[in-house]
Amino acid sequence: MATYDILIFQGVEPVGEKQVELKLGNPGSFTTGIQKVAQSFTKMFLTEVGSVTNDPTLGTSFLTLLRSGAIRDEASLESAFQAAVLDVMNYMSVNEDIDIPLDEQLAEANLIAWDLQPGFLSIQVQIVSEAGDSREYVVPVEVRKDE
Amino acid sequence: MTASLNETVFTEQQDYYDGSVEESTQYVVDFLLNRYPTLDLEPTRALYDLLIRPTAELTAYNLTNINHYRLASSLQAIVENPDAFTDEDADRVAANFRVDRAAGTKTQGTVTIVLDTSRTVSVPEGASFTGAGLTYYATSTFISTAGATTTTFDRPLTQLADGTWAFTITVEAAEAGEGYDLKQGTALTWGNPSAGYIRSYVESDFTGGTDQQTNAELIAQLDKGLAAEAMAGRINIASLIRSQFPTTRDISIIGYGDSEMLRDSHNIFGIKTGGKADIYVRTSNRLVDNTLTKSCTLVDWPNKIFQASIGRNEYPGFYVIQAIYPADQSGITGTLEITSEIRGLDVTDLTYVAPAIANIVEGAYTRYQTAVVQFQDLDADVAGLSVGDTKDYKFEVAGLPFVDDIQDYVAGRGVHNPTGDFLVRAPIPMLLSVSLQVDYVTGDETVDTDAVKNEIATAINGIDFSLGKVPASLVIDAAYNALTDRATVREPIDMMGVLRLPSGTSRVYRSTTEIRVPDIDEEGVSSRNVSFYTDVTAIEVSVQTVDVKSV
Repeated sequence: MATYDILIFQGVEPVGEKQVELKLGNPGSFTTGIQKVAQSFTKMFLTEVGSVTNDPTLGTSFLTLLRSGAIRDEASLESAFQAAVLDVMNYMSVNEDIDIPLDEQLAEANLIAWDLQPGFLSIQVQIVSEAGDSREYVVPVEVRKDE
Repeated sequence: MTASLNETVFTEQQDYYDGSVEESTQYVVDFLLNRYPTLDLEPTRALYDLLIRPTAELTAYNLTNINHYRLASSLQAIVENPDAFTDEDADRVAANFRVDRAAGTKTQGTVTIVLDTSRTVSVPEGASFTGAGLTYYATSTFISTAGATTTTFDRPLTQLADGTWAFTITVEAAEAGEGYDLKQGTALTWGNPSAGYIRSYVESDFTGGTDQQTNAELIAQLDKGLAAEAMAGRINIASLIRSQFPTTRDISIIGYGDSEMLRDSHNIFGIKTGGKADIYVRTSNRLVDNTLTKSCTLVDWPNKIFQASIGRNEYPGFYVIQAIYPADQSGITGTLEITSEIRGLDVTDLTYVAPAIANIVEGAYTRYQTAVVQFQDLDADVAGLSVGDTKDYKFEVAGLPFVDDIQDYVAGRGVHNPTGDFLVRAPIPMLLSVSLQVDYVTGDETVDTDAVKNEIATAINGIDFSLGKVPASLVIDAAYNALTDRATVREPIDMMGVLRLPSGTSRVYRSTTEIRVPDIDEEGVSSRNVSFYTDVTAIEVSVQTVDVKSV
């Protein structure tokens, strides 16, 4: 039985390039399947570990490394991304119910392409579910000097 | 949501909340899934992060507070873990039993300021004086004067034997607490001295500083609050004395059937007949020195032996004479040799009938105690004196205050139990000295030996009748309160206790593990009536640097 989460990535289209905004809809919408997987992955991927009260293991170190300047080239980016994916996978394996449908479970997250500029990083991510379906999307990250 | 919502409150109360954020989370998840089974409420989902978790945290917080407030009104919960509750919580519960928290008081005392010449010096109100790592402030403006004192600010100048001049002022500790009590003679430094200032020191013991009661101490008083304040059972008597003499630190009452009771067996059969009680009151954690100026009689001209007597009202129940020195001497530099000290009793009736006391063993350290002291002053100029002439000397005498006041109070006709005979005594003293070594790693912060000594003194002086010993572990634990970084106490430590028995003889006990109060039946001595005393000057802390390998 499919399960649903509230949709916080607004403006998503089934195919093609589309600007996506992170907010609750009005009226709100639910999401499921691979879109729900991508939403959960992205949200945790961009959450800094240690920033959530009472759950010190939620999140990854990706943004922390990016802000500290540790991500400088392809090697360091690839390393930080894989470490973050591992954190997400481990967290989900520990905390998720094994009975949720396969198309709602994360199987892989791959770094497809990237663009690193001073103060700005854009990564293209491929999400693959346990059911085998996949999607690609771009995650832009801006790093301000005062952060 | 109240303003008290913060991490500290939340964390402190975790022990008292029988749930957790996780349990609250599960509760909210189960609640929603029961109604909407197709919702995905797993961690990392938006619903979980935006709805479930915040709700669960607030629920846990509210449950914690509710549980805390429920427990805070529970005497049982506070008794089990008094330090986990706020002072206000404990105060509210204690008030239900007519017990109030004893607030801390600030030490006050007299400081002698020594000047080079007879000159007018103004000490402004709030002027600071520091010594032994503690700060004191002048309680008002004081002005030294060689002439007549015309205002309350004026303080007369007196010339000392070395030609300098001195006057006294009153100071108060910067903060409340027993740790601010200082011994006579302790050097104090004037923070902003005037011209002509040479030095300043504690004129007589600083006393009266008390720490605010902790929650544990407050709760321990509950039975006293419930008990009727009367000269009846032990709890009742203790409750009465504490209510009238709030600085009383410890009370032990010896009565019928106790091996320490010697006064109730004066009959032809020598059997204990009851009807008498010895009330041992520790009215100060530390010994309090008093200076008595005595006119002493020359009794042995060739050997320069002088004699003086100490009446029962001069320092009632005193323990020991710490020093004797000429009255015109500036401060204590040592003591003349005491060649003889004979304690006696003066049991003539006051405004009430004196308790039955047969001898000094039964009457030592009571308000009826007296003493005749002989001492030798080899430096005294006796050329112009003959036997029977007098010379002034100062006696530094250590004891406890209020022994006479408490005796007078409990013997008052309206208070006294007409079926009993009550004798108030200062506890039999065991004077402790401690020696230990502290190791600290080269390069670490230097050990504050004064702080270590203060912690140890506070711990030893805080031992009550119920423990009956000074374990080395207590001393070491106290020392660690003042140690930082990698400083450690090296074992074994050396402890020595001098037990001054009522008969006047002393027994010395030395140990590296514990000093234990012995049972001495013929003197009526046991842990029930012996108190431990020490002072920072009796505690030796040596410091040794050690090298460690870098890691």
